[in-house]
Amino acid sequence: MNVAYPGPWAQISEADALLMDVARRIRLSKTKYETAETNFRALCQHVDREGSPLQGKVVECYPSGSFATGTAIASRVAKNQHDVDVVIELDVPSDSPPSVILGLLFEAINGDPDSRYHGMVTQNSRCVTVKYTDGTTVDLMPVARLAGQPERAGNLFHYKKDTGETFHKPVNPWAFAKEFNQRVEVDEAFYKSFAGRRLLVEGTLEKAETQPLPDHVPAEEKSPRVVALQLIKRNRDIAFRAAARRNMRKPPSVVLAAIALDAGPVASSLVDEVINVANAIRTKLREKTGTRRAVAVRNPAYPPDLLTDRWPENEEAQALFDADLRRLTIELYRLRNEDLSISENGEILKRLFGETAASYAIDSNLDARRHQMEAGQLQAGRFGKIGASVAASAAAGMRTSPVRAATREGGGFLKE
Amino acid sequence: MSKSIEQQIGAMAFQWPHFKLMEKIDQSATWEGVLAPDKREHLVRVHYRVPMVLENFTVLDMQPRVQVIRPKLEPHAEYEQGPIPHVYKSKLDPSLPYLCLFSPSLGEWDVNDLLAETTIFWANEWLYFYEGWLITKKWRGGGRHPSLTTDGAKQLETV
Repeated sequence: MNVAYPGPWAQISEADALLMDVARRIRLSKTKYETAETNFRALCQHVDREGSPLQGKVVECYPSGSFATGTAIASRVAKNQHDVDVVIELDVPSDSPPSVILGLLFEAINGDPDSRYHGMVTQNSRCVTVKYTDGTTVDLMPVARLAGQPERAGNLFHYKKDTGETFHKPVNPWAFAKEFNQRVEVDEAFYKSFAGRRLLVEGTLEKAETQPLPDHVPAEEKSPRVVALQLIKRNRDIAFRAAARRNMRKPPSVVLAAIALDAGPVASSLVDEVINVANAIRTKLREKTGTRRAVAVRNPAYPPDLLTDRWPENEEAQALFDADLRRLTIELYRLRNEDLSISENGEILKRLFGETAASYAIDSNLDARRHQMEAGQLQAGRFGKIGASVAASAAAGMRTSPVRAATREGGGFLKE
Repeated sequence: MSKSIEQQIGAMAFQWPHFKLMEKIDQSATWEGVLAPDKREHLVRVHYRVPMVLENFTVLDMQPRVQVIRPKLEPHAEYEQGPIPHVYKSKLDPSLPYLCLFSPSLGEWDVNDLLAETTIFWANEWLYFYEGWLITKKWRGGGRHPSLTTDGAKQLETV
């Protein structure tokens, strides 16, 4: 038996287990987080270096968006690539011309032809992007603090080279991340299920039973809402990979996170929580209180910061995402409610979260079943259905699992 | 004391009532029934003969024989452990191999065991991982392989 701890194990539905497996695959590893942090800190030091056009002007540098809220996922799962959004606070007047600030930041990073980041840098309308050789990107968004405003509120600089569009926009990503992390619910029972599932897949379940919730567990392992957001974002990324959407703007993660904060009580099942958050987003989209007849979502920690200023561009963009979320919930209802085969589960997961994550989840589920089998804990329902409810059989006094585990052998011939 | 064929038949009728006793001759019996550990139904045939008291036998030879009658097992030589993982070949009908369900050398089954509490569950588990093998092309059901060395001795490799 490869499983040192023979149970009893926490019961979670197969649908929840599969979503947990998908979530583990799409998330960033601790190493990736550490590498990302090292990269952006090095970048900020580079901007502040002697001889840089922004020497001595860097006030603060911190991750914003998904990295700050623990909802980061890989942008390209198979290649384990990710994008990091970073705020670089500059000691410059908050009404500085956006073209000048963005241009200076570009020059400061790009540097001389032989310098570290030369040729890896692109200037965008609100940030400067550095693309590393492994495909990972860091978006540095320059911000200048606004006097007399809440802590770390500032102006971002918007300048579009092709149209000449230019303006300042008040933002406060730091306050949003702080509020999100304070308000998002954590759930020790969820952490135990999530950690237990991983250990069951790996065949080392006994650890889950003996380890208390450690302080350093990242938020995404403790909060079903954060994991639900990661899954919704992954589903969004898959939908926007379609050729027809190549040049379309995606619903920003920060908008989804802000709506999720008001999605009501956290559901105990991960499938239900994803449906819960998706429905909350769909309900919010119906409000259409903003300009362009679209939804308006504001930074709850700093209302002047309108999070939906670039998406949705119009009603159609909003309706498109609403339809995506509708499809997501329908597929999740199927995953939760129907009697599906391994293959059917795989097809649903592939449509929702892509092939790499789906294959990983199916492999993981088979590994989990194997470890249950080796511990003599794999139960079978009527006609042998694995994973089915076995309450009726057990109530009738019938065995629902073998008297002991066995080892497959084979090869050669038997006497006939 | 080995279980009698009547005890085996009684246990099968209680635990797996949809398995039909197809034949009983002396101390041997054959059942057929459906197992659907994933979703697809498999018609399975189980044959077992209780060894006689003074009979000289090995567990390898006396083990219950389990075959998948319909749909027939799909051979895929290119899949991991293909063409079909963990089976004994049948000389009588190569399309109906016998499932390898336990390790005779580890003594995981003997004639004191009820098929209803061991063999059928193990066949069911085998079919579950077979369905997974068809989809992932990898055998994730564990086990080990006996292989013959040049001097004919068995060696086992864990997989």
